[in-house]
Amino acid sequence: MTFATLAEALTLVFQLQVLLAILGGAVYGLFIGALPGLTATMATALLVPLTFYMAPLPAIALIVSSTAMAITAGDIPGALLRIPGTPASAAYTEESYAMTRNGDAVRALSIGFFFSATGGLIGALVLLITGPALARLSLNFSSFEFFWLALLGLLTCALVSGANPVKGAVSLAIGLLIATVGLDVTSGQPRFTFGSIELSGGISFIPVMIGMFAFSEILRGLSNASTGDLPKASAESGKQRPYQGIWPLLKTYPFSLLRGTAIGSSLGALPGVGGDLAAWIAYGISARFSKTPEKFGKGHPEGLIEATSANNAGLSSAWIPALVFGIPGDAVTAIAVGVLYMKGVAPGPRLFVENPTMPTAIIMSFFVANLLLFPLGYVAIRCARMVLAVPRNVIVPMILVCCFLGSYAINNTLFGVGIMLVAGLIGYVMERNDFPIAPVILGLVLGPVLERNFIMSMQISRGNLMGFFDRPVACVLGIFVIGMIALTIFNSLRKLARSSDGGGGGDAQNAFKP
Amino acid sequence: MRIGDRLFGPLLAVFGLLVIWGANGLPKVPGVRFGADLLPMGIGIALVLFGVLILVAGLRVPAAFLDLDDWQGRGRDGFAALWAFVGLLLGIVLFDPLGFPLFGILFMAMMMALMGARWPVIAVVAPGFILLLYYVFSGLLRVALPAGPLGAILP
Repeated sequence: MTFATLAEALTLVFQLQVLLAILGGAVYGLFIGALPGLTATMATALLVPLTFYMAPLPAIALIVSSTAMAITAGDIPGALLRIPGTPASAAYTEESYAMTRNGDAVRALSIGFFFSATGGLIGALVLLITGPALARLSLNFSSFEFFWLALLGLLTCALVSGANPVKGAVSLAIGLLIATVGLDVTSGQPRFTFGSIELSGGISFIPVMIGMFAFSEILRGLSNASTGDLPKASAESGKQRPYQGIWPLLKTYPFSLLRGTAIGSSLGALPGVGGDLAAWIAYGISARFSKTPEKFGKGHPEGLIEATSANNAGLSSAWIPALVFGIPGDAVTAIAVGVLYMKGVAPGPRLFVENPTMPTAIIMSFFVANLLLFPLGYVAIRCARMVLAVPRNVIVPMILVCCFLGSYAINNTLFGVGIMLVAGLIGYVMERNDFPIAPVILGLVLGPVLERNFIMSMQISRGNLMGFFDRPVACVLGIFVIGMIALTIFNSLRKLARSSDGGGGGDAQNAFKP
Repeated sequence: MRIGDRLFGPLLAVFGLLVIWGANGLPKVPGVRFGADLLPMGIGIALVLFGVLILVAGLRVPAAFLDLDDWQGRGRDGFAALWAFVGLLLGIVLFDPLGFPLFGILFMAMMMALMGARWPVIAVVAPGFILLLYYVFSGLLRVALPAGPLGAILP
């Protein structure tokens, strides 16, 4: 990319209609993202008719800014009401909600917005500099690497999301089992559908996520199982300004920000898995290498910083395969690629050669959209904390109606509401028995990816498991995953042996701690 | 509801066996070595194994099989929780005939009343919030929400 291309792209982006599209998309994305149960994908899909009447760059800039804002704003119901906006934000919902319970809602939201925007800006820079190279690298990944990567994400999540790895693994298995419902990803056979047409389409993660996180939390709040009431705005939090205290956090955890961004940027470029995995792996790595891992899950900012920055950095990178090769990695980029084609702009390597200004301008619109996150986030945080001032007997019924509507709106069917209710009850029982629920969601999202790539790899290697180690990257990933499992089993057995030596004391909860 | 590990472990193992049985019953495609049963079978085996591990851990600690004191003495909150579930379940059946506005107002008013909200607050908040959601979702976001009998009088 030359300086002239960059200057031309900047001129294009700073046209009034492009800036207005970015601002409009950001405000719209903020509104949709903040509504529990509504997703960035839905926000993007609803924008498509509007793009018919727009030039290519404003149309894509509109999608870029609404997606970035909707995904970041999805952290608002996550932090305040424990309703994560996306599968990726489910990685750190517990942490931000714990912070809210501690009376630090403004801090949780400030961390979310500030580090998402910073991660997004760095991610956009990475996209600008290394986009084509990263895309080429990601296209070299075969089913073997994708399998190991999905497994790595699932294991990381299961091992870090609770004190007991066996219970984490059970949650993961339940998520994977739910993912098997519907038509088999490889042969198309119906599986565990019990003759139901609705089950043939599989179980969407949105109602499960709403049920397990939000509905179960309400049940818990109304029962004796509650550790306290629903979060309230503390007196200190009421006085706190948005982004207050962010600078000390930035100075304390610069490495978390950089590592989260690096993980997000590199994993986000992987079609299909990157966006959802990045935040989970970033949170897991943060917990593993933290000097204070015992604070994780109790409202500690470290994991939150790393995971939120990975989330938005991954968001930018997800556009790499879409722009460079025309291969969309997720639903949002698929819609964007469709819009580009509709406008007569064919994304792919030729676009970078024949019209380099256009992809550069699209990347530049990422910068503007992420910069807008700071002021709009400020307004959103000021408005959002009012939610905590609403009395419990008003906010709980409101959340329940949102749970109902969010589960219904995803497919416009009441089947989603039924799934949400069942998932809520299962989530309640699981949490009461110390089973973490986050791995269920990731298992559900990544289950089809894991299965498809495993079966494909088994077919390629003709059933020879050593085939999973033939390729260099796959071999490294495989050894890492197996080492992780072996280390967990070894540590658990050592703990078990130690507690046996101590006369069988201790409790079952600690017996399998890593 | 707290289920002791000594009970949860065997329950999980039995569930795992059911999954294995279900996976075993999936039709096999001739010539396909790795079919639809592979992952469910693996999950079933894992659940059986985890069930045994949880049982072993549970046997080391004396704890109650089942603890049902979550809802004892919860009074109004207990009824609210029951209504949260039953009300939304009823919503699946009544959503189309009643429409979202009427169902939503009735559900929310009942929930607020059970949680101890005062009637003047209920009279303002329940219809206000539901109608706001109705117009946002059906008007702005084009979500197909049935209007029901209130559709005739709503603008």
